[in-house]
Amino acid sequence: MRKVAVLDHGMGNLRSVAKALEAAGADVTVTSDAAAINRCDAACLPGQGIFDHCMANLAAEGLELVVREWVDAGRPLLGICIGMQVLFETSQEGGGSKGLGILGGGVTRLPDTVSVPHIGWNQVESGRLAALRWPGPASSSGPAPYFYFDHSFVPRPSDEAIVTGWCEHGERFAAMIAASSITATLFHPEKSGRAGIALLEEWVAAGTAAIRPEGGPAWPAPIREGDRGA
Amino acid sequence: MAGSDSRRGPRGLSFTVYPAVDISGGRCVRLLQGRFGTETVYSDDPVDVAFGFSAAGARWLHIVDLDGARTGVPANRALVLEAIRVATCPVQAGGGMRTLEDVEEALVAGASRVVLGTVALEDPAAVAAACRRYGERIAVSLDARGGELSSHGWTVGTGMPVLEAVTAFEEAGVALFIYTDVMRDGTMSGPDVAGLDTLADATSLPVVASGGISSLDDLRSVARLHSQGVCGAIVGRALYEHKFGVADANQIADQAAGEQRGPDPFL
Repeated sequence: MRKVAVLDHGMGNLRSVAKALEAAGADVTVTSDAAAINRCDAACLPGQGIFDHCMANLAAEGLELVVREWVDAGRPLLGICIGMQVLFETSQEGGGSKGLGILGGGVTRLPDTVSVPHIGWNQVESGRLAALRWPGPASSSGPAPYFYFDHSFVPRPSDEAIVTGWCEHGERFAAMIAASSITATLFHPEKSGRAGIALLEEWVAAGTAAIRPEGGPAWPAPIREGDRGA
Repeated sequence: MAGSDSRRGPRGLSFTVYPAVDISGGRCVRLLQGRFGTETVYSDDPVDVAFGFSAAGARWLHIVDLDGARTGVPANRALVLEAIRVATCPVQAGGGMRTLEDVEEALVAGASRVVLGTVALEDPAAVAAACRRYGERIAVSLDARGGELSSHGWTVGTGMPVLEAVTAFEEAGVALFIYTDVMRDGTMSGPDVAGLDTLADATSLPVVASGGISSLDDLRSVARLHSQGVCGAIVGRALYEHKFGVADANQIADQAAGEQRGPDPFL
C-alpha cells in the first residue's frame, strides 16, 4: 500500500483529507515531521483558510523547505485548494502575498460579477476527466464531472499547458493542474464524494509523478529558486 | 445583499438532497414531530452514519445536535465536529449554534454551512454579525408549527409568523432558508408543499425543505417547486428505513434540475 504523508501545517480539515485518501487506498500519515514525510511515497499539501496564514505556517513548521526539496526530487505532490495556490508565485489575497513560487504565475480574486466565495459543486472540463467517466454527480449539461469548490481566489498559471481541468465561475479558471511531479486541484477532492475519491484513487495508484493527460505534451519543469524574479 | 446583481439568485440552481444525521444522547436518532422522548435510535455511531451517507453518494449532509438545539448546551458538539471531518461531501451543521465562536468552530472543522435556529429568533444582531463575517455560509432554520415559528429544538412557540421573519433575515445577509414543518417531521406523512410554496414566493433566497418526505413521490412533489426557488430537501427517516436510497434520491434531484440548471454551481 502506498504511503502518503498529509502535511500538517496546523490549518483546517486534515482529518477529511486523511480519511478520503485512506478510502482511496493510501496508508496515510498526518505529520509535519520531515523524516516521517520522507519515509512516504507521496505527499499531500491540503489547505483551507487564508494564503498568508498557510505560507506562515509552512515556514513555521519547517515544511516550506520540505516541500521544495520534495518537488526538486521529483516526488509526487498533491496540492489541494490553498495547498494549490501557495505553489504559485504570488497572491492578491491580503494585498499581495508571496507564495512558494514552485509554479509560474499568480493567484487572483474571482470577479465581483458572481458570488464570492465560490461555494458549491461545479463542473470541471477536462478531456482527461471525461474520458474516465467518473461517477460524480450526474450532469444534465454534458459529461464533465462535478467537484466541490470553496474558494475566492484562482491561480493564473503563466503556462496554461499545465492546466488539466478548467472550471467557470464568473470567469474561466484553472481547476486542476499537472506539472512535473505535481498534481493540484483548486476543488476539494476530499469533499467531492465519489468523483473526489476516484481522483484520489488514481493519484494514489499512479505511483509516480502527476496525473496528466495520456499522450499529452511533456510538462514544463517547475521553476527553480534561481529562475524566480525578485 | 439579496437581489443585488452580484448575488446568485436561486432560480436555475440545481436541486440537492441532504441526508439528515440528527444526534441526541450521542446516538443517531429521528424524532417524531419534533417531540423529544419520541426518538427512534438508528445507530450508536452517528460519525459512521455520516461517513456512510457520503460514501453512498450524498452530495451534502445535514448534521444536527438535537440536544444542543433544545437546550443551547452543545452536548453532542464533539460528535458533530467529527462527523463533519470524516464526511467526504460538504456538510451543513446546526443545533445549539448560538455564538460566533460556535459558528467558527464548525467552519474550522470543515463545515460548509452553519444553520442558525433559536439564536436567529432571539438575537437578530448575532445573525447579522455572523452574516457579515460568513454571509455565504449562514443558513437560518425556519421551524414552523401552523405558520408560526418555533425555537429551542421546536419546543417553544414564538408567536412570530414565518413570513414576517423572512425579510429581516434576508436583510441580515442570510444565504439560505431551511423550512421545516415540525408537525410533519419524522412522520413520513408527506411534505408541506403549500407552506413551501408560500415561503419560496415570499423570498428571493433559496429554500431547502425539511420534514415529512417518505417516498420518491414526496421528494418529486418538493422538487417540482425547484423553479420557485426550492433548491433542496432534507431527508431522514425515509433513508434510515430504506424507503429509498441516496442514489434514487439524487436521480430525482437531477431530473428536477433538468434543463433548468444554469452555469451556477449547486449549493
